[in-house]
Amino acid sequence: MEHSGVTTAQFMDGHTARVRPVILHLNLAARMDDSVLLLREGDRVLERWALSDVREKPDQAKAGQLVLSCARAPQARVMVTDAQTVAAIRKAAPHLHRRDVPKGTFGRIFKWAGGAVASVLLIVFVIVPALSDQLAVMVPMESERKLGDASIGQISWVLGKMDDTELRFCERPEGVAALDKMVARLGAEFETSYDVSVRVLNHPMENAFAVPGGQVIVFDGLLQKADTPEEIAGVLGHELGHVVHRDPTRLALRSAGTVGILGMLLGDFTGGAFVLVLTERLIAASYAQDAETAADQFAYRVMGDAGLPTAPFGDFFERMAEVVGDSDGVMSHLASHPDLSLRAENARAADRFADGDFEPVLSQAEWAALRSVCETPEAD
Amino acid sequence: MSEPAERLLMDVDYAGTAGRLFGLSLRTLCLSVITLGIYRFWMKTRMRRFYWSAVHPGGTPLEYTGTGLEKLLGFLIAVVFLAIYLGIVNLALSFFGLAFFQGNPFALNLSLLAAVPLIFYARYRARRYILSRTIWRGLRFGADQAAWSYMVRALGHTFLSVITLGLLLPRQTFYLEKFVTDRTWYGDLKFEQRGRWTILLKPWLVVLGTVLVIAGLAGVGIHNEDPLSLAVIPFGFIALFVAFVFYAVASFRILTAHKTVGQNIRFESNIRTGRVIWIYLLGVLGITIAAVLVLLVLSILGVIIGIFLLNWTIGADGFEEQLANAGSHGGMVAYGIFCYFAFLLALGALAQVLFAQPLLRHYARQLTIHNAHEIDTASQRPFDPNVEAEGFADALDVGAAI
Repeated sequence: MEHSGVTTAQFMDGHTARVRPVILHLNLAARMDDSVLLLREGDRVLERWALSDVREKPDQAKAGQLVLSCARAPQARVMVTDAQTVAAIRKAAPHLHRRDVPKGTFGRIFKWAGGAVASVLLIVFVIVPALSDQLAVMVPMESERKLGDASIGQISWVLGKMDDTELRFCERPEGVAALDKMVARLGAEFETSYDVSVRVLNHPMENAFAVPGGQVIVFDGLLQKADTPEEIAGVLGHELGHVVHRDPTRLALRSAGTVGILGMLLGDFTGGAFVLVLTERLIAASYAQDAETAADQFAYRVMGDAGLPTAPFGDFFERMAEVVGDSDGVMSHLASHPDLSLRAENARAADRFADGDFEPVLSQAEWAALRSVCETPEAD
Repeated sequence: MSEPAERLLMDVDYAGTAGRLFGLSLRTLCLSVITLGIYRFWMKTRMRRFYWSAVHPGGTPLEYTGTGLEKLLGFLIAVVFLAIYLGIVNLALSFFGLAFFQGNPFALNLSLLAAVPLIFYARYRARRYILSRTIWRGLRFGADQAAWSYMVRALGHTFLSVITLGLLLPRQTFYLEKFVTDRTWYGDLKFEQRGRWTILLKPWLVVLGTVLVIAGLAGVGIHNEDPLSLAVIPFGFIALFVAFVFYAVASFRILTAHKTVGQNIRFESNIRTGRVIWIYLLGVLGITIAAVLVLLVLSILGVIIGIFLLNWTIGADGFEEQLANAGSHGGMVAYGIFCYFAFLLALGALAQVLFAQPLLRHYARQLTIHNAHEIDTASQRPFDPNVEAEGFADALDVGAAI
């Protein structure tokens, strides 16, 4: 049984710019393959489109306007506005919404997706790390020093703002002398082109950090938390490892090399900032993880060479691991790395003085002096 | 020539409605968030399909034939090259920044410079892609391949504009517009930008004059610490905005009037600065009201959820404490995240309705095509595969506004 509808429509042949009024026949046959859309200009048949080849152009702004093309003649267009015909075509055409994707498109997408992933991994994990290691050595000492001063300025400004106090470097002479003695004992065991300086900042945070240019900052909170001077020596050894490996500069360069790439991948879609911060953290952490492990190794070696046990450093890690569950003030820098108990184990395993005798890094008096380095000298 | 007037003059209509646009925008924005941004290529494509199909020169809609898959492929291709380029160049620039300008905030912005030449390149390529995916009355638009030479020219013009403190900016506007227009096609008919750069001088002098007057007043105010002249400063920003809109509108009108297609097809644009400012004003007002309403609804909903989920008691003592403790409840945290996205998505979709569509409508309806009968002589141009699509623009986030 045949069924047909006739209406006027506008036809564009895809070869010229002419818009031609045409008569449109919708001929429905019992077999879908025989159903056709027929376009006629006067008596002449312009096009005969199999209904299964007819495609609708989606996302039209104007309701009720149907723009059609044919899978076999993709350049030509028919515009239909008659509501009844629009409804009839919508009902009858079986593949109106099919997308005719050119052959090989998905293959190409997989190929280039592979290329894009490889390219990003190569730059993030191979090229940028290798290049920044090379370049870090070439940064002039003076520049690093200034950069380090700037970072210390920023950090103490932020911490001071948070606690509403003025941070200052602790300078009680006896304590400074004790610290210098400790640094000298460790410093005798390694070579560095930096002019190493270690200072204490009067802040309760249990942390220590190295900035570019060979400066190490220890917070007073760390001194108060430690049980023995050897624990502090371990932390210092770790930070000096960062100094010797030029970690602050290397890592600064690395993050500069990767930051633009992530923004590029994510684009400006809503919520992209979330994912951006998250991925950046992950990459930074993976960079830092290696640096931390290397700094630990450095600390173990130097301490051993200096005749000091590393087991106390291990005890220290263990205590940190216990307090990690608690929230504030924990050495965020060290604690931010997951395997504290592993580090504790490693530190004990690296100990060359198991139960043997060793010459303490500080005497009882010197240790007491170091712990009170932040106390203001009593007026004479 | 005895062509009837209706064949000589062609008006452009705009047929998009707010409801359909808002629905499409909101749906596609949601999908983009859910797919962690991957759907954004399809979102852009679908929005363009809508906008193109809303513009009806002479009663026949434009059509956008680009696809999301094309854009995704172009993006992937761009990433392969850009990841390496940006990684190395950013690293090198920050090394120089570190080594020679340590701690100087200017040095941190050096790495932005790495992208500037690419942005010009990407813009031209994106325009070429969009044109090659635009058809009207069955014929494609198109642009010649000239992205590298556009980049070189754009860098040169930008340099000149900067060292002349903006005096030569109209020269830049004109010559870059001429460069792209003279390489634009409709079917086999070529576009051409006529006129000289000095046609843009007058509107630009208005902008410069405004800048000088405001800077002068603000300078006097700051120097004398006179509160009355300092109060000029916020008005100064508004005046600057108006002046720049005026330049954008006036230069568009003038450039459009000096464009031709084929032998004799010409254009006339009657867009108005006042109208554009009005659209922005209404838009800002509408967005503000919508933001307040959305926040209100989300807050009320939040309290209702709190009552059911956490047994909140309204009006009881310690209600603030209840609110503060909401952060420790997974359901409330999830609702908070939902609110964040709901708010941004609703306003994002609304921005399309309040800014993009009214502006496009105004630009479209104020355009008249002269000697339109010549359009009938055009015939099809070959398909421009343009596999890289506008991937560079997508990767660098410098795509067209729509």
